[in-house]
Amino acid sequence: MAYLGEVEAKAFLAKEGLPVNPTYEVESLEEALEKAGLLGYPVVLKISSEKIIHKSDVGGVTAGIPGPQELEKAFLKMVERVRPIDSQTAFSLQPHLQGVELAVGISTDPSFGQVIMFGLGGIWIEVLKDVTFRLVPIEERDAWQMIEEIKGKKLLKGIRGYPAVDGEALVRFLVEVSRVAHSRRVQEMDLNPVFASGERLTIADARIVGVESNGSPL
Amino acid sequence: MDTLFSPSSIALVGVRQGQLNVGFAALWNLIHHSYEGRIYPINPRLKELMGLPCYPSLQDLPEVPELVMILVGHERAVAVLEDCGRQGIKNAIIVAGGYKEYKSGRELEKSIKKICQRYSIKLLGPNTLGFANVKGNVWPFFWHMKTKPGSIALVSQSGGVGLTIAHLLYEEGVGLSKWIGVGNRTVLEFADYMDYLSTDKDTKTLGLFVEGTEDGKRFYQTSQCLASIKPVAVYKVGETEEVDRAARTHTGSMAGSKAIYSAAFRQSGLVEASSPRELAIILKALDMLPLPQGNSLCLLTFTAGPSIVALDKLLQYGWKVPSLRKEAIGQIYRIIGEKTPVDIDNPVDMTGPGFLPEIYAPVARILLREPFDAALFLWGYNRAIRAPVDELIMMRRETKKPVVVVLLGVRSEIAEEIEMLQGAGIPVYITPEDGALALGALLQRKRIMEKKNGLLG
Repeated sequence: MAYLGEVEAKAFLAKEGLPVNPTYEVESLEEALEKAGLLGYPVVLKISSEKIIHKSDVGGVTAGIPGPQELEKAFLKMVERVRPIDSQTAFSLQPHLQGVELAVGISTDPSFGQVIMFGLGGIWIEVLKDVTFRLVPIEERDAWQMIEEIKGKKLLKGIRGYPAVDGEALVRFLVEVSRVAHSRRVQEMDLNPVFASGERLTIADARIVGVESNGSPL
Repeated sequence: MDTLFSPSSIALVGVRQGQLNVGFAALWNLIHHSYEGRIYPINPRLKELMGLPCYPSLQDLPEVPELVMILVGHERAVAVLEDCGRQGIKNAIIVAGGYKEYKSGRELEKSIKKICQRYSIKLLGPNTLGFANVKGNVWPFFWHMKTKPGSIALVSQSGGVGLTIAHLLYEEGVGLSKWIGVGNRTVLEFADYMDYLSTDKDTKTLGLFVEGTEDGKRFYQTSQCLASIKPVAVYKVGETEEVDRAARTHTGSMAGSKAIYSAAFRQSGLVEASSPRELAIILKALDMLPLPQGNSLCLLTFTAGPSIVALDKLLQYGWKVPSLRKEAIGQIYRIIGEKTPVDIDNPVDMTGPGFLPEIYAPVARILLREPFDAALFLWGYNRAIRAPVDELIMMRRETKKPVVVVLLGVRSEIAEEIEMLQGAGIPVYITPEDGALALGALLQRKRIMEKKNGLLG
């Protein structure tokens, strides 16, 4: 079963027309510094390893890196932490985003088939479990209901300096994810976090298990 | 499916004399519930049972029965089923358990499936109490169930839970069209029964008890179709499930089975209850009441507390309780007395003067004419004071709005009032939260229909 890590998953999603945060895979500190220069600071540095799925659990994510010096420090620290777990690990670099962190996912139930999940994302997802589900494919009305069903929906209205999230844009996004999952037979997929701010939704991390290649190489 | 649920003849295999024999119990139920078709008890050692001649085997019957109820042990049942197939019998029930739920029974269950495919037999069960076509007086059913004819069909994956719901409904004064114990669903699945009931003229409303199905996709599609025709409420057991932390993705591990069922229910338009009791309350409301035009509600009471309990729930269910128009408030004061020391708002609490039917009823009538979409009338029973039953029945005939009555009292003491009101199409509940739940279900059903008709985002 095909497993797509962050960089490949994002490439796949971008091709399907979903908004992803541009992400470079980098092997070395020199390369990281060069790409960060292209992207512009602040940036997010992550590990990119097939062996490590929950990146933040092992200290494999550093967000909000403001400049080259901090990037160098973060890079070396991450190497030290992660190399013992996976000596082959690569790294990824992307612009640092702001907004409300959402999670959107796909899973496959043995009885009902594909299911889409929506909820508050980031590292709190497993603690708060503020998520809701629908069977794929969903319609716009289902997406509206999903948004209504999460306890943290007030966060989407804009509080404490967070920008409000445009409901219609979010609904379109959910329907699109459902459509891609449906047409490309995605078995499992995590889009977490998805940064939401106004009408802009950006997939900042992604992984996919099992997807139909549609004849074209991924 | 018509010949399964309304057969012109039924053979019972595995009937013996004696109260404790399941076959005898099924035979008793058929006779006791006035089955009008032909009954063939099969027992080679008996001449007759309960005044009916017994036959030595299926081959010896004077006709091919439309339904055979197989009441023998799980191994012999397979042989009897094969026999049914050879005789050209098209509908069967296997009562015995001990198939897929029991290690060595799995192979037997596979044989059952094969036999049914080979002879195209529609099989209910195995592992079931049978069914009761309550309206049609057909009870191939080996246990005891207290019910009466009505328009709710219950389809249950557990005999015990199905009975619990039937009895709760009976306590609520509501009867059944059909009761179906689906058992292991080896051949006929939930979706088959739901398909059948979607066009069953005796059934207005459906209640489901679900433990789980392997055919979720079909269940979902059938539910979508059914829920656009008739109201369906469901109770699914299993709040939590072992979550596999090692799952490859978060989404996979967050999606417990219950969450997915709930998603499927919501998406297809089933109203979900969280207990058998809730299911009974909801089914009664969906079966008896018209749908509201909107979500504005008026409450009338002369005792504040219960209306506040109801209100607390109603607001959570999405009902709005807007204030009364000034003109209506004026009219109400003229009835209860201008000097009554109370602010009239919504809920309308008339306090002291309100407990006389001569005061309560005219105020209720005013409220029904006001621009609300539904009404909840609370009355505290007192054996010294007549409840405004006749007046409420008159009002019910004059309005198209859903009206729910909460009659605070002990069920046995207010049985007559409940029966009269419900006979006129006003559901009565004895607690405020039940009344609120009933109205909550109604609003949910309204929203489901709007979604199905594409009226609302």
